Amino acid sequence: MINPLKIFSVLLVSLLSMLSLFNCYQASERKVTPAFYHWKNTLNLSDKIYQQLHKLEVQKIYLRFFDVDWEHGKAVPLSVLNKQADIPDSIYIVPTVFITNRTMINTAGPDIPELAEKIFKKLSRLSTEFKKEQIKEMQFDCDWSQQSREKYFHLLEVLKSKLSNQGLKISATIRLHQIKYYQKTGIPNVDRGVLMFYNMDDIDQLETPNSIINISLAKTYLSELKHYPLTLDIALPIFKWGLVFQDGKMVKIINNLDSKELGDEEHFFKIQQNRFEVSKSTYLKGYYIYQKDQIKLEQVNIKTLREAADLLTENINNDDLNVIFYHLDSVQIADYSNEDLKNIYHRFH
Amino acid sequence: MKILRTFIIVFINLVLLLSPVQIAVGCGPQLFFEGYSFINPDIIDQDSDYAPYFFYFKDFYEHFEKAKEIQNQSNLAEWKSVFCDQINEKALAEIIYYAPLSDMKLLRTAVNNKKYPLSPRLKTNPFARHLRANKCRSTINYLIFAKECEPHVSYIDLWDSPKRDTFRMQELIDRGLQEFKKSKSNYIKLRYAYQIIRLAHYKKNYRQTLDLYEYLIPKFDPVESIINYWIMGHRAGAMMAMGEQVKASYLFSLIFENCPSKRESAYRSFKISTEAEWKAALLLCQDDKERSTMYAIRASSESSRAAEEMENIYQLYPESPNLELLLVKEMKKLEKDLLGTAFNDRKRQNKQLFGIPRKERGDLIISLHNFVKKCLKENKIRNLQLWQLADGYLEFLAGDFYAAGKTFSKIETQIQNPVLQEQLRVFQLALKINNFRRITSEDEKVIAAIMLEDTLYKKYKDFPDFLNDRLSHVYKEQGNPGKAFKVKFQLSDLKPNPQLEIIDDLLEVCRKEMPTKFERALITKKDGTTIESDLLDMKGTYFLARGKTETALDIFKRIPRNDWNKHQYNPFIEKLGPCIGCELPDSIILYNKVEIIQRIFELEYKAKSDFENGAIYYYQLGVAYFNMSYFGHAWKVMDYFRSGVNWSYDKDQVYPDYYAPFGNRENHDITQALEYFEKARVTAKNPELAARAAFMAARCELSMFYSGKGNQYRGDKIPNLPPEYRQYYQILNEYYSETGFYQEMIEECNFFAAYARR
Repeated sequence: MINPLKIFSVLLVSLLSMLSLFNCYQASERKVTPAFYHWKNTLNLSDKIYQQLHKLEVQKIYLRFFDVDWEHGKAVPLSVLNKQADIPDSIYIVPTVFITNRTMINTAGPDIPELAEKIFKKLSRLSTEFKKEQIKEMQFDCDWSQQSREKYFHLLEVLKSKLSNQGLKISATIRLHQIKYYQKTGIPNVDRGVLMFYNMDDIDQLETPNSIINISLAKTYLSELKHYPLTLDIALPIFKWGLVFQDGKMVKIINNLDSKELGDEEHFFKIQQNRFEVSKSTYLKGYYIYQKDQIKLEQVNIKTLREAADLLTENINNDDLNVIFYHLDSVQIADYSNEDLKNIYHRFH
Repeated sequence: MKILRTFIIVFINLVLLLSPVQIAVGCGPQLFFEGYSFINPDIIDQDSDYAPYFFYFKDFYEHFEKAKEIQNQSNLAEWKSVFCDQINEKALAEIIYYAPLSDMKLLRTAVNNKKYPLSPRLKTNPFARHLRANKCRSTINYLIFAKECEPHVSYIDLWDSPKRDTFRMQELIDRGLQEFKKSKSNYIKLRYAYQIIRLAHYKKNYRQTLDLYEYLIPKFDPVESIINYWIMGHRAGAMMAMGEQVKASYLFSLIFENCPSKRESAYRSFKISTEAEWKAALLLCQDDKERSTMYAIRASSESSRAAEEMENIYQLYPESPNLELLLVKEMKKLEKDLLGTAFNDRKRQNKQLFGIPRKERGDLIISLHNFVKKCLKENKIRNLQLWQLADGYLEFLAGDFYAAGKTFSKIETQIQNPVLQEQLRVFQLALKINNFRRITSEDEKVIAAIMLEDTLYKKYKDFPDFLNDRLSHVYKEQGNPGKAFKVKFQLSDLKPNPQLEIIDDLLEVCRKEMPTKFERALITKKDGTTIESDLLDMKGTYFLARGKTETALDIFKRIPRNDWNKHQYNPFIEKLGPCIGCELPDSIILYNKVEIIQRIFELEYKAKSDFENGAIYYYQLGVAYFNMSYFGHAWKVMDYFRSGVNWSYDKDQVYPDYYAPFGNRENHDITQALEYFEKARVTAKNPELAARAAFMAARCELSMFYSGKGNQYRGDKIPNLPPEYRQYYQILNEYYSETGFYQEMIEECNFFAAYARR
């Protein structure tokens, strides 16, 4: 005879087990928001880019609105975004401002609130070109130093208060070294940070294997990531460039350069993998380069991106995470398939 | 009670003292390239307006105001010449740049009708009076028109996201066209054409800009004026915007060559992107001079290889003044690479931070020198003497000092230009200093004469460094470390980490019966006394800090007795809490270093001989050694400089310090103090004293933990002491928990309780 109590007990245990399994699943599944940085002066997205955004299920674009630099003895906004296209309603926009460290160094402490006010007003004006509902957060990017830290953090405090009055969150970019040495470099008082997982090695040295990304070097910086007291998102590089060295000194960066453009044997001589010597002075992508200059090509392949994603996912504690590719450029994105990029997003789950 | 409070303060202060790791990062100077330069920029043509483009490219933006100033000055100079130099520039500027529109309109009324007087502000202005007296209606009408155009074409506040009022700008263009037609003067027509074309350009209507140019310029006879180039700039700008990069760049090169007031903007606007564009632009040039300007613009880029461009310019136009500028620019780069690198003590820093010297410096100097020799041989260049000087200096930089000396001597009589003559003497003096190989007494006389009497040595700011670095290098090589140090540094720079060999070498100089004038300068202080007592004090302190008390006492006693009491301390005052900078009562007895050591000897004797009270003396010795260490209030007995951030472990206890050539040594070693506290504890008959000694020993352990190898503790919490560093807390807990000293602490100090009970 079947004991109803026993059946009930078995069902209860099964249900509880399922619930607990479900809970486990819930706890381990991280919410990942696919995102991109847009770092160009003109917002002009091709149909192909729109399609890619759709296919990659991109939900956020960190849109550089303008830079703030120090010119003629004052802080000025430069390279203001020229909007020539819309961003789909389904995608949130995070207006982003890049502030040069020299601006923070040169701005006097008492002038910080005024600078914050100017930045805030400029951001507010430019934001009106987009739908209000698309903007929930604004971001600030500055590679602050010890000399500028106090003023930059003060600037962020003032901006945070202004943005919070408008119901907006504030985020700031964080460099790898600022994670490792956070007790020395400080932590900005913002709602979230974005760990820029690139430009991590010495760009000025010809012998640096890849200044954009170096996984073994990155590992040495990540010990403190779990303890970093600010919720962090991740920015990953999908860009390439050519670094021009003259007499051992890096003198130019040529964006989007790849080996195909150095195939002309009259002018370029391949000396090793990704390294070329200019055998005859010539123009290259608008720059005049001289005989004996050396060009080092750097880019990030998909394998390295996967390694980076795996390394970061092990070291980051967030339940929700924005994973941002730097940056939205039709030439650079063409080096990666949608599946590969999607896979990178998925590795963070 | 007092003890407990003190104990709490100990830890609060320890926490505060540990946190400065953060401060340390921000300390220190901003670092710049540190080398020498003896090239006087005046050797290039002072009238050359190109200099900034070749010398100060990095400061380009700093020249913005300067460029604006040049533009205004050029404009005023031209107006001045239009009025036959009768009106001064100040009067012109007052009307053209500063008078408000309302005053200008009043001036026009006064020009049109003599009944109306000039406004009070312009009443005494000679230009206003001239315009009125000569009824210059056309001029004043133009000036008013220009003033009305100004707000539409001037700098705008970028923060405000302003939009230009294109409707009003078009109205002004239309009005300008009417005025242009009415005007009879070619010069005023030219000025109207400029205003009109400029408005169209600022409107960003590039087609209209070019159309207006085509329409207006043929409508009047050519006039020689800078305005032609200003107009050319707007035309080129419009062309550039419309994709005619080659033609535009060619026009910008003409402006760069011929119009100083627009040189900066022309330089910035010049843009050639491909080989084909470059060739096309060269084809547009009318002659080799124009072509050479194109090469000069390309050469002025920060990343140009000047030697290649110089060769190009030389082939086209050997007399180009740009060649001289490039030559000097390249020599300055090579000077950084090569001058004094054998003895520059910032060599490593220069390499690490600035990549100087460059790897290819050898090839670069050979190639430039060959070019110079070719130019001298062919003698087609403009300023032969400058190239002769360059020849000698390049030999010097390449390390061929003999040849350089010969070249300099050879051209001594040929150089007539006073600036070049001075440059020659400067190079000769640098060579003379560079050639010191072994410094004798005779040489020291010569050195003293250079330092005291040579006007060029005083005029050229890098000479003192160059000489000191050279001498320091040579003295070191010949076994005079003291002199090597003293020619470069102050004695105070040695105090953070005294070096025996330096002290002994300098003491030897002090004891010389007949020192040279130069040596006297090295060892004499401002008050006329020598540094001997300071050296002895440093030497004694060196030994005292290393536990060699008897040697230290012997050395201190050699200091004249009058100097003994210059610095006095009392390390025997017991302080249970941290007291690095705390004030001690005025009433305490102070001891000089001799007396301190004598008192230590006395305590040591008593500790060993007095069986009953030995523990008290051991305890006092422990207190003294603790206080004289980095962690105590009398640290100055054993050290001269203490940095609050140097808590953590460092090899040999020497911490890097930008201003101290040998770093800063901290006296972290408190094993001697710990030893005495342990002896006091073991021999104490009174448990209260034993507890006290154990407590002080625990302090020693804590300090040893903070400064110990492998300690990564940087936080702001009570550290989790490893067992080997809390033995005395354990001893206190196990053996002295019944003492009043212990009870008092446990009751009132949670911190201590936490440690003791672990």
